[in-house]
Order: sequence, then structure tokens, then C-alpha cells
Amino acid sequence: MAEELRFFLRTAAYTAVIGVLYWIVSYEWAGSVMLAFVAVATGLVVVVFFTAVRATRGGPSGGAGGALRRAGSAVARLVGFAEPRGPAGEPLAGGLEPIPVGSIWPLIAGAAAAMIGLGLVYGPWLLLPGVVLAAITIWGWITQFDARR
Amino acid sequence: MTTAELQERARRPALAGERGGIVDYLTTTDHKRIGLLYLFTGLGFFLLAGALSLVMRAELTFPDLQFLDEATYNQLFTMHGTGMIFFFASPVVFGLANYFIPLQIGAPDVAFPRLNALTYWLALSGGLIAFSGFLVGGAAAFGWTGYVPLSGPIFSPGSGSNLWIIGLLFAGTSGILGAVNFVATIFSMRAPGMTMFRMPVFTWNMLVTSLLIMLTFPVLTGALALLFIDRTLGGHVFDPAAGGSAILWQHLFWFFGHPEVYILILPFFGVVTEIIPVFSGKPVFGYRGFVFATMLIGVLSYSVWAHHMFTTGVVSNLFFAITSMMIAIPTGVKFFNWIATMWRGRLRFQTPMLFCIGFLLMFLVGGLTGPFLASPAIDYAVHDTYYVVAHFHYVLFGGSVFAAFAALYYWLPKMTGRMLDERLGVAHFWLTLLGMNLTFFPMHLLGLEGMPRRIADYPVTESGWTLLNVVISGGSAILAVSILVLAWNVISSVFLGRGAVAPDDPWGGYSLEWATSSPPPHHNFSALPPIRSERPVFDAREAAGRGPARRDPAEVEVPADPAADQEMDLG
Repeated sequence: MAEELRFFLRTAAYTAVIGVLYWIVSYEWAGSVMLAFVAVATGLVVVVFFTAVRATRGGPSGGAGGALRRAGSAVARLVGFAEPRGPAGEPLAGGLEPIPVGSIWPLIAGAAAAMIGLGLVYGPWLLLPGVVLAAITIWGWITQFDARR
Repeated sequence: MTTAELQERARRPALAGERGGIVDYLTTTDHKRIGLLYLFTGLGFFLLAGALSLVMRAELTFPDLQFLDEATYNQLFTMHGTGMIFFFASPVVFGLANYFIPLQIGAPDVAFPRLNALTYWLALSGGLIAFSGFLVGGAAAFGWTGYVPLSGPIFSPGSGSNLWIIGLLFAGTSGILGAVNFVATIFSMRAPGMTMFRMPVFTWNMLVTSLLIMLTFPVLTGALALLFIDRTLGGHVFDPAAGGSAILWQHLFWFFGHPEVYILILPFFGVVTEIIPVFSGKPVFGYRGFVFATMLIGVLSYSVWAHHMFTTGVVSNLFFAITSMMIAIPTGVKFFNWIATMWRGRLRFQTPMLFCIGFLLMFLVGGLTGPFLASPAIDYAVHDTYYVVAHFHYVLFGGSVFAAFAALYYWLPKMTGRMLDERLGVAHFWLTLLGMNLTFFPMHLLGLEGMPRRIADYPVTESGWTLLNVVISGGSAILAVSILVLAWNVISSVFLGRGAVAPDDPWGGYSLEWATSSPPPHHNFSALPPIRSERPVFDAREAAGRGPARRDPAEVEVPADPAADQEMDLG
């Protein structure tokens, strides 16, 4: 079992057990719900990761099981469960994606968020320009690398 | 590194590897630059929030001074706590993590570089928005815990409180995004050979911290959103008169608030665990024990929140007393491991190690008062007194700040290419140790004598509150002087370029950040050593036939023998 999976599994197991204990001794809703939230959230990650790990072991590719396995395999590649490729000591530069260059959009996104946040306090005259700027930011952000390519 | 290269580096200004125009920093997505931005922003808020505390201490030096009115005093302690926790300690944690997680796992950057930049701008915006309340008629004045109904629209009208909520929403959102980024980076971008149990302890601790952030910050941001709705849109979530619950706020806040303490201390446990083995000339004692103790602290922290609510009378005191005291067990494991790491080691008492030893002693005091406060019987007696203030300052100043200073002296040469002055560093350490104990230890006595926290004045008593307050204010002045020493050290050594040129590995380090140049290039590494343990740089040094480096930073200059530093080029 991958350590990444166990990492989340421990939290899910502890909060599930302690959540039940807490409910028994307190009958208090807020804390019980929050503990359940932690258990479910981390448990969900465990399920997704477990599916991903199983998918990396291969097997028949047809039918519903195969589709699930392919989906899990995609998650495994995304999360990086597969052992990093390349022998130890090999120069990194050859096998890596290009190092990202700078981008103005995070700064503008921060400014848009600040305008929206302050707009919630001071009114639509600041909120609406902030929303417009946020929309422009989202467009610029997602098209930045396409434009460069 | 050859003599020519070192001489060339000596001619360059510090931070040359990182220096760029202001536009470069505004548009950067490089984790190292973002890390530096976080660190300097955090230090800026440290100075601001520290200045607020000095004004408070001046007010409390003697009774009946009253150059501050109560309303202003309330703003000061609120923004002092808010600034220190959300806009100093958290950014410093994120700054160190940003800079060193990719370096320690052999990655060229974090998983989501642009998202990483956004987290910084959100954090900065949050801090500026929260503090901007001072400019619009008064900042928030209900304590950093924001308890309702005090923080509600009736008792805290005005935009300063709303700005505080928005500022913290930004900080919370920034934290969540940053934590997701760190987890993704650690899981998916480790170098070949870097298994989970070969990761440096600092990176491990940041992984646990990131999980804590991902699971508790959403609770805070949700609670803040509900409070904002109550204040501005006529909501009644926390209004008992309309069927809401004021206690609900405390549950939501402390479900975030107590893990937040571990969010602010676990990364610094990692820092100390990086430094002590290097300056003891030994591997860390019980590497896996350290990691599992960190995980245990992490999971236990989800189940202790209501020990802050013992006196409300509506929580299970027994349940939370037991779970809170259990945290002393993994913390004790760590202490034994640190001591065992130093045991029979060849100790070098340079500034980073001095601050680590200071951390051990000061955090121990804060840690020992923790189980006392976890006992409901004692907590009822000292709740909301200066005893609590003493406890958490020994934890967060004696713990987090001491370790942050250790990290600064240990890693700033890597970040800037310049060594800090050792004599000034030692002076900084002793002044900080003296000032801290004079400032915070008497608060235990004041608390036991019943002096409440968050009051702008106090009566003349026979039990000596005035004398203790004079000592505390004197101690805080010494702390201010110690910060000036640090500031001069950084300005002189780094910005004026008077510090000795830092070699790639000035301390004889163990982890991968010491396998690249100081400061690292944009792509971090040209080549990596083989990773076969949690100490790859040490292994490479041993394989090259050299024991651990034992150079005094004061002696680190351009070497006469070009071959002397050849082994630093680990490729």
C-alpha cells in the first residue's frame, strides 16, 4: 500500500473513531459533523487513491472494470504514484517539463479578489469592476499558455 | 565551486541569483522568489504587530497611565494577535515551505506555479485589508478569536470589523490553495529515489501541516462567511435571540483554531529537526519516530478544540481533557529524539544551533504549561488570565519564533549567497532569550494572581502587579533591541553585501538543498546526487571520501585552494 494512501487513511480512521466516541459522550452536533467531515473528506481521498493504485497494476482493459481502471490510472499518473522515472543521479534537465516563466495573471487575480472583497464591504461601485476584472483574469489565465504556444 | 567562481560571486551583490526588477517579482511564478516574498512580507507584519505590542506594553507599564483609551487598546491587541498568527507566522511557514520543499525533494518548482503566485497575492491582500481598518475609523477590536456576539453588528459596528473578516477570508483561501499545492508537489514531483521515507523531516512536517490546513481552514472561512452574513445581510446564524447559536462560533473557530497552533509549530519542529543533526554531526535519532510523532500530533489535533471552551459548561470537559493531554506523548517523543540526536554528538554552537537549543528550552516551558491548562480544574482558575498569555507566547514565541530565527540563520546563506554575521547572531540570540523570559515568564505569576488578559489598565495591588508589569515592559524593550540587531545583521550582511560569501554547503548539510548553488539557479539543480537515504548530500560527501564539513562561517571565504570546494559540485 502506498504511503501516500496510508497518510490519508490514518486521519480518516482516527477521525471516524473519535467522531463516534465524541457523539456518544456529548450528543453535540457541530463537533460531530466536523469530525465526520474530516473522516469523509480524507476517506474519499483514500478511495480515489486506492482505485488509482490498483489501476497501476494492470489487468483486462475491457468493460466497466477496464474503464474504472483507466480512470484510476489517469489519477495515478496525475498524483504521481508511479515511481519517478529515470535512474538516480541522472541529470534532471533532460526529462522535465519547461520551467514556467512569469505571469501577470496571478497578480491581477489578487487585485480582482481584493476589489471584490472590499466591494463586499463598501458597495457595488467597487464590487462590479472587481467582478469584471476577475472575468478578464480567468480568460487571460486559461489562454496564456495557448497564446504562447 | 572554483576560486574563480567564488571570486566572481563575491563581486556580485547578494541575492544575485534571485534579483530582478520589480516587474520580475510582480510577475514571478518561481517558487524561490515567491518564498522570499512570503518571508519578507511575514517579517514586515512581524514588525508591525510587534510595534503594536510595544505600545500596549508601554500602556501597561504602570497603572493609570491611560495614554490609550480602552477602544484603541482593544484594537491593538486584536490586530497584534491577528497580525502575528495570520500574517507573520503563516507567511513565514509558507515562505520556508515554498523555498525549500522543491529543493528538498529535488523538484524544479512546485506543482502549480501560477496558483502559487496567486496564494501570495491573496495573503498580502488579506493582511493589508485586515490592517486597513486602522485607516477607516478603527480596526477590529474583539480579539483575534472574534467571539460573537462581541464581533456581531451590535457590539462591533463599523467597517473595520468587516475588513478584518474579509482579510482573514483571504488568508484562509490563500492557505487552502497553498496547502493543495504543497501536497501535490510532494506527491508528484519527488526526484528519482526520493521515497516518502527518504524525505527530509521538514518536508514531512509540511505535508502533515498541509493536510491540517486543507481540513481546518475551510471551517474558518465558512464561519467567517457566516459571520459576515450576520453582520451585513441580516443573518442570525450566531444570534441566540433569533434561534442561532453563539457557542456555534466557538466550535467552528476552535475546530480551526487549535489545529492552527500545530500549523504554526509543526513546520518549525521540522526546521529544528533539520538543524540539530547537522550541528551535532550525527543522523537524526529515530527518523521514522519523528515522522509518526508528527502524524500523531496532526490527527490528535482534530479532537482537542473544545479545551478552549471548558468554562462554557456545554462541552464534555473529560473528553477534551484526555485528548488534549494525549498530545504531550508524541511531543515528548520528539523531545527525546532531539536530545538523543545531540547525545554524544560533536556539537557546534553556532547561531542556528543556539536558537534550536533556545527553542528546546522555551518550547518545553510552553509545552509543560499545556497539560496544566488541559486540566479543567486548573483551566477554570486561570481562564482568561495572563497565565494563558504566558503559555501561548512560550509556545509561539519560544517555539515558532525561535525556530524561525534558527531557520533564518541556517537557510539565509542558501537563499542569498551571503553568510550572516556570527557575532551579531550570537548577540541576537542572547538578547532574544533574555528579553523573552523577562517578558513572558512574569505573566505566569500575574495570571496566577488573577490579572485578566485584554485590559487596558489595572489597579494598584499589594501582590505586586505593578512590579511584574514593569519587568514585562522592560523585557519587551529588550526584545525590540534584539530585533534591531537582527535587522542590522540582515541589512549589513545581505543588502550591503558585507557578509562572507556563502559556499554551496556552509554547514555540512544533509538534504538536497545543499547540493545546489547558493542561491540556487532558476531550475534549482543541474544534477542530483543519488538518493539512497534521507541524507543524500551526506552520503555523497561520504562517498567522495570526506566526512561532514565543519567549517566556521566566519572562516568561509574564497578558498586559497580551488580544489577545496570541488566536492560541492555534486554532479
